Amino acid sequence: MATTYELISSVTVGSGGAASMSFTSIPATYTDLSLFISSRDTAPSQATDNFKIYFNSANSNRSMKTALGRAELGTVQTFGTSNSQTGYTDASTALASTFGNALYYIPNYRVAQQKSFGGDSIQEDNVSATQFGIDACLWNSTSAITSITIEPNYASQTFVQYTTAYLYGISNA
Amino acid sequence: MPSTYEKIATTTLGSATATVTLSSIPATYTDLVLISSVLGTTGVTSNVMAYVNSDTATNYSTTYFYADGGSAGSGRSSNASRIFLGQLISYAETNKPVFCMTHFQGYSNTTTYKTIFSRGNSPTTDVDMMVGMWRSTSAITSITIRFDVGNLQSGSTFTVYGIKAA
Repeated sequence: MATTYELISSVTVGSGGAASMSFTSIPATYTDLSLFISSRDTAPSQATDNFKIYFNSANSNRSMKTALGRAELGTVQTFGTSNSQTGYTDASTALASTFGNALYYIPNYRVAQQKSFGGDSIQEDNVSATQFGIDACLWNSTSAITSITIEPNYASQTFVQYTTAYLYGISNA
Repeated sequence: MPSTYEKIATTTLGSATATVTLSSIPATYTDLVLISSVLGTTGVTSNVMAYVNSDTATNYSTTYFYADGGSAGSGRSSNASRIFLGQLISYAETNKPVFCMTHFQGYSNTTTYKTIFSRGNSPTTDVDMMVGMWRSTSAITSITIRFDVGNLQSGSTFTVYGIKAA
């Protein structure tokens, strides 16, 4: 029986912060990938930022549809983006010691099809202006995914210490 | 530590077909997770659907939520012959799969109706979330996936995993 949800690699940001988190040399031995992120970044004067996820160092050909829960508005919003944000993270003015959480599942990462994947992310800091995203994502490429990069959407910002990302492999062999 | 997320059955379509059935699901797990990556026909509006144990009677209900980038909404179906897994208002495209992750909680118990939760991801059109119910106390032993319109196309993949709580 194949091992599933096997840890491929993890990243924990150190005291100096990090402009991005990357998983490289992802082995071609699994069927699917799953990415768990706990993050906070330095985006100034705001409690919420987004992070972006892209593959094979190609921050292009990405698109997504999102359902966004914003408690202070009392409604669900929806929008589509291209080559921009993916999920939500806590940022500089969020309650201290709070981190956003996100989970993405990437099926058939080696198959020569466009890469359709999905996930959920939350930014929560005990105030009303919190955000919850439900994302359907596409990388319009048939290349096998060999690396994953996660970085703040706000330009020139960094993930803070204790931000983590875990990448798991799932096999149906 | 019990084994969890064990593959029970998997299939990759080599040609177009109307339905795919993952069968002989043992009752030895606590929950099931179905991972579907579904290719359709460009321009054909369709939904990814499922029924279990070959039961196509009107024993299913679904409440769903969708968001397509322009509007978000919710709806439901009652006394239906299958449940939605994803792709509620949009269409699958050749080489651009719809990805659905579906959980069948307590699938093997023989005392309660079965609750099913699914997330559908169709990145060019919408994101979906739905909860369904199969009004039967039978254990689920097979899952059949289909579109409501058109065939599942070659290259579609379906895998069911078992999850153990003990």
